[in-house]
Amino acid sequence: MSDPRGPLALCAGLIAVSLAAEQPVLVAAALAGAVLLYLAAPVRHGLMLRLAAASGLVLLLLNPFLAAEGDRVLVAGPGFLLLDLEVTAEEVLYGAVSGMRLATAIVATAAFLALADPDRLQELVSRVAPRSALTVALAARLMPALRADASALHEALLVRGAATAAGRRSRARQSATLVEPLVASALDRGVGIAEAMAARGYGGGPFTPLPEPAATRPGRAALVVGLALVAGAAALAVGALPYAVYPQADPLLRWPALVAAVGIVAACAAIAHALRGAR
Amino acid sequence: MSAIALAGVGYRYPGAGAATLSGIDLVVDPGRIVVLEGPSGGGKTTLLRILAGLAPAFHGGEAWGAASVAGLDLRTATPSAIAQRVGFLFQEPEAQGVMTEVLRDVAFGLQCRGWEAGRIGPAARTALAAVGCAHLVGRRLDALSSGERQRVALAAVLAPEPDVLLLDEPTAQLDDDAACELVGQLRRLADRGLAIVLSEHRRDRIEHLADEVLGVTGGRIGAPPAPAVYPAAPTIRGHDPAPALILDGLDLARQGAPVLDRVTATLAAGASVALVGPNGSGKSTLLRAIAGLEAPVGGTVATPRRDLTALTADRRVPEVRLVPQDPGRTLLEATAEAEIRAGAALLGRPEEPGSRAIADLGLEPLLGRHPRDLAVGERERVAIAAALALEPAVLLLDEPTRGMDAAHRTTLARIIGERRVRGLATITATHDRAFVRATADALWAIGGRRLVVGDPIPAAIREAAR
Repeated sequence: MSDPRGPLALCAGLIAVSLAAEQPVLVAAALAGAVLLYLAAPVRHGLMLRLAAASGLVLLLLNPFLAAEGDRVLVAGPGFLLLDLEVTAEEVLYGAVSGMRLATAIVATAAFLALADPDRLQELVSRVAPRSALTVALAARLMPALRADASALHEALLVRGAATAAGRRSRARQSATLVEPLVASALDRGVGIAEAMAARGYGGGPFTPLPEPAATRPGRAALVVGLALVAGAAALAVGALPYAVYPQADPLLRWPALVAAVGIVAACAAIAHALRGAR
Repeated sequence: MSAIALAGVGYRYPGAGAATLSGIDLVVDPGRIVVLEGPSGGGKTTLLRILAGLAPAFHGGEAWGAASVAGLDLRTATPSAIAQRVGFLFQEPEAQGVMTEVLRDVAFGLQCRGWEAGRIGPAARTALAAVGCAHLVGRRLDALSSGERQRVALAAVLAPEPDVLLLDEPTAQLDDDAACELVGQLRRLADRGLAIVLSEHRRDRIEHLADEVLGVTGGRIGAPPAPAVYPAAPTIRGHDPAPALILDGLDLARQGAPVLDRVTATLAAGASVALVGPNGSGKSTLLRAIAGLEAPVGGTVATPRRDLTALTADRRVPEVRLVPQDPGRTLLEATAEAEIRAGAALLGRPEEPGSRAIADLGLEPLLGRHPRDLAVGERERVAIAAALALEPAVLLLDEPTRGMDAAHRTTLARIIGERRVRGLATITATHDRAFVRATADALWAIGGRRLVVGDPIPAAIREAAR
């Protein structure tokens, strides 16, 4: 999907739905849609999914001990300083929804960066927000550039005779030694790209957009679905499909929300399938 | 009116005690080609960055003096405004890409100059064809070899037809054909009225091109340095014909595409082989496969003691040690000295070879500096010293003279010669023909996915190179 407008609309729509929806099933559907899209990207990295899962899990685990609400007690316990050791089903549910929202934001952003052509994205931004083009250029290249730099630094360790450490802890310690040079390379790269853009004349006059090929069918579908999701998110934000977690959670599955959730997942699955087929 | 006019220009990097440039007076008229020569770290790249308006804009620090380029006052013009009239080729092509696809990257400069959309594509294609890269359209920049990237970067600089061209070591990564084509193209551009300033260590490639050659040493313009005079290649007495490295039927691929087929060759102990071939032919891939950084599709890599094929790169050290291309990306430590000694410390080997390499390569003044603050040629020397500190049996050098001045190329040739006497076998991938003639006693040439093991280089030719 080289035209960035489709993935931009779709991924922004998924994030908007996850933030606006109160129904847990809709938030879960947005997350599932984001994961399906990310898995359909030509280049992806398990790290993003692990990061999303870990971040979501942290919110899920923390919320029951930070909140003190909900009627259905799962584990009774005393309060301890700022911690509330009583765990209710509502606190767990709210933590799960918050965790899924965060995970959706991470995965959908990763999916967008993996699906959109960075060159066309940069050009699009150059037209509408010229001062942000450098930020976009760096963001769009962040993951591939970091991967390439990390790989080069790891190779540097190998050719000096350092074995890849065995065991997770040792590997983590070894990776930690690469953080400083990795950050230094990322900073160098930032300055380098800014300098290279300026040396080509960026920002010195009008920027001519290149004629682009027509959007592909999956791209058009993503744009339509994305816009529909944004509209749906707006409706959710003004009170459509209400849901209350506290003091006692409403039933999880209600027909309207379930139908909407199935629709989101089905649309994302269809687009993901079409993307794989187009490669 | 002069295309470039500098009077009393100086520059100091932020936090630096001494000025990197001082008292620079330079006038370049349209149609003239000026070549800057001088030692690594002497100020050539900084001078070019000042002319392009990138310093102090991107690097901070303090500049003084009067300077105008293409009619623009450098004290007031922005880098982007200067770039509308001036083309600048960076020293490291890896750092120059703005877009990810080749044609778009070349087109970017034309878009920034507001060219009509219909003219941009054809102009970008023409520029790519002019540097022999028409076949790279559609490829990703990060999948290209360094030489290919340098050609694309050249196309991007030439496409907008600037009034002034500033080129920082434009032939460093180019094979001989491409360098020859570039020299011809630069002459034609100058004949059309362009002013060109380029820095170059390879005088053999540009001596017929320059209208004027200036030396930049210690931040001042003066007489050009003496050309490289290579030492006599050593006579290996009692040469041990035992092999140091055996490649047998090696098949190599890159991103699934075959690069080299059935590579079979033997490297004798004490031998020095030059690995040559056009840009993108697979020289780096072969060296990486020998070092264990690329898994071969088939075939074996072995030393007389053991089969290395299944061993990871770290387990091939110190028998085999690679100095990769672009060592700036692979320097890990906070000081040059720590970088040089890290491998020996890690493997529990003596420090003396590292100290000897430091002395041989003249690195004492750089030991306390951060490797990222060094010039490209200086980083290359640090990386070579780090490899020599491990006393490998087989040393693999990927474009070792990149960014290296004449004096240090001579030193490197001497060091290789001295260590060959003690049994070090080297394979050097390079486009530096003079360096090849001075150091190599055999050629391995790559072409059409095949490695051809050439005849020994006659002693007379090597003698002529001196």
